[in-house]
Amino acid sequence: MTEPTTTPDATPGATVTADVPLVRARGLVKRFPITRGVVLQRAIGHVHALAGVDFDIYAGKTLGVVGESGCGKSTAARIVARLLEPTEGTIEFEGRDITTLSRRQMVPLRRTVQVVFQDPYASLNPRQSVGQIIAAPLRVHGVEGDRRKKVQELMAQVGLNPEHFNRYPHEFSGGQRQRIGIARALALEPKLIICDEPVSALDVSIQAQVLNLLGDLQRERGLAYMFISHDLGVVRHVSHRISVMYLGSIVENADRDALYDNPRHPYTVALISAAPTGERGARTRRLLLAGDVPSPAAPPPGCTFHPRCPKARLVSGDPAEVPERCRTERPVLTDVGEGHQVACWYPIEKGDAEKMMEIQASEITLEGDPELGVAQTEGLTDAQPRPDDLVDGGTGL
Amino acid sequence: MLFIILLVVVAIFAPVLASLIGHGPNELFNRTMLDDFGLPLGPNSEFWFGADASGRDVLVRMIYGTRVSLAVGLLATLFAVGLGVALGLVAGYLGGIVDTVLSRIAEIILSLPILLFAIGIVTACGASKEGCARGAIKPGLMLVVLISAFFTWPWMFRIVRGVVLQLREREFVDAARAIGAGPTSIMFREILPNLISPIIVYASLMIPQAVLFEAYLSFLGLGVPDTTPSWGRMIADGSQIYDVAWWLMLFPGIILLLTVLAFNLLGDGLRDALDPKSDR
Repeated sequence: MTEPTTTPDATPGATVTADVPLVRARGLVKRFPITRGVVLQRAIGHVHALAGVDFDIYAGKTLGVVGESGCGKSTAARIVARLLEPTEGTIEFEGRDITTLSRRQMVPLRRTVQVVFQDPYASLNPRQSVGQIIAAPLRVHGVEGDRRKKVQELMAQVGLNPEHFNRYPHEFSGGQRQRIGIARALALEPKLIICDEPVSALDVSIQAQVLNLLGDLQRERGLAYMFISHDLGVVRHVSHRISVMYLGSIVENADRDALYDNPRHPYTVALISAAPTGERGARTRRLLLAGDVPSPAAPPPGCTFHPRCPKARLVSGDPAEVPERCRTERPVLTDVGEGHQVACWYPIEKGDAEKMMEIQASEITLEGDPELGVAQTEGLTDAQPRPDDLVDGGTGL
Repeated sequence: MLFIILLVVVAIFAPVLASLIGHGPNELFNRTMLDDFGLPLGPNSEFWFGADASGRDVLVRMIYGTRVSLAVGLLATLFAVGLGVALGLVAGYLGGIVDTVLSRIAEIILSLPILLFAIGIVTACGASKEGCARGAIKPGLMLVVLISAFFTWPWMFRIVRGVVLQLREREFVDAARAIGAGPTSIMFREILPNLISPIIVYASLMIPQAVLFEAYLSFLGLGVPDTTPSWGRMIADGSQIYDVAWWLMLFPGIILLLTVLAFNLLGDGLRDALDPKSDR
């Protein structure tokens, strides 16, 4: 027992320091069985919603998770919230493994991890008044004291009129409902709030208000967020660190500015180029991804991104060819400096983006539709019709 | 609604009303109300709804019949709703093997020919005063109630289960789980309040069904004992001589129709009143 511990988090119950993340997820795998049969159900395959995901969430910081629909980001969030059980992998909370805790053992932990859901219309029980909804966590955890006063304080904090605690959810607008959801999440004074696309169901004008509210609460209370979104602009606004997901895996992890200024994974490059800039008349050159996202029931071998990867074709020098390594070996997240991690055999280097654009433009000109090809080379992609085999990375989100 | 209150009042104060009229439910007026051929006489100023084949006052018997009909309707529905809602919640929310077993049981009961089985049970249990199953089931009103409830709870079960299957996928159920609520709390606090509308509506449809069911059984001579007046038995008796005594079937028939209609309308009204989204 004199052997010194190598890492601080290897000792259970070690004092929580700034280095120990609030949440440490390692090797999370989630497979959903595809069943057939009515009485005797048998699995005929699996949907690989998560294929080995690692991430850390630090106290007081926001981890943004971006990716297309179906990439597993919500599954990851639900596993951290323990609404789903991971098939494999572990989740540690403040250094303590919580993966195998039963529902009863989880009850004290529920106080520290709360969830804000995507759809404020579906996540509030239409038969309960706002007061009942916000007081529910207090009731479940047996918090004593004047619950009504507490509820009204919470309502005031999230910018709702405390007099309205007797009203029902349908009497509120979408933005107000999401504030109710936030008040409910705050009721137990958690350390981490998992925001599963909290603004994607809201009007753009309301989104900013809710995001600012979340930001204010983070500063006041030192909250950590796990912020799931498909909206790159939103994620950039709120996150300290960002994980980009594709088909059940994290393909790139980086601090916010590093990710946007210097993306290293080809998928991240395509995602960022697909985001609208908001500048009038900006000549956007978009990196279009060919084909659809493969089915998570039958993910491609090797790097899951290789069938659509523009960089792979740049490396091979032939638009139809993909380097063998990409087809056979699955890349793991590798540090490329300053905490920037990327899961790619051939990370993007300076100048790659332009070369990929050129290949793309020449390919389209070669493949047919001359009108579109011309438009692409001129970089005016916005209003052009697209052939079916070309899917804008932006519209797929 | 008013009509239902009226029915309840009539049922409670049946003896008072009968004494006001001055005729007992089983009192025979075969001298005044039967003609020379032994056929009953129609409505007149003393016997508003006429007399039946034995010379008994139809109005007074209908007043007493209200008691039977309401008791059967409400009790049978209460049992069926209680059983159907509880099992439907459990099956829908827990799913898996519990759901499979309960659903199969419900389907088996639904696939039985109700009337045939009811007749069988009533005949078996109603043959002697001791009843069947070593006296556990005795003939009479309660037997009708239990049979009716037994055959109707699967309807409520299936409706509740179906709605629960939808509701449990809603995010507010996840939200309740995320704050640490247990399955019992979720079933009763989160899901049950959302079931009130369908439960009320279907219960309001089950009450008249139970009333009708009692009428069927009584019509077949299998319901309540002969001396207890019930609407179904009165219609049955009247059907034998409807060509000479139209009033025997008409008045109990009308009151049965109105009762069924009133409960259905009540169900509609309650559903609207209980929905927080309709401010009326």
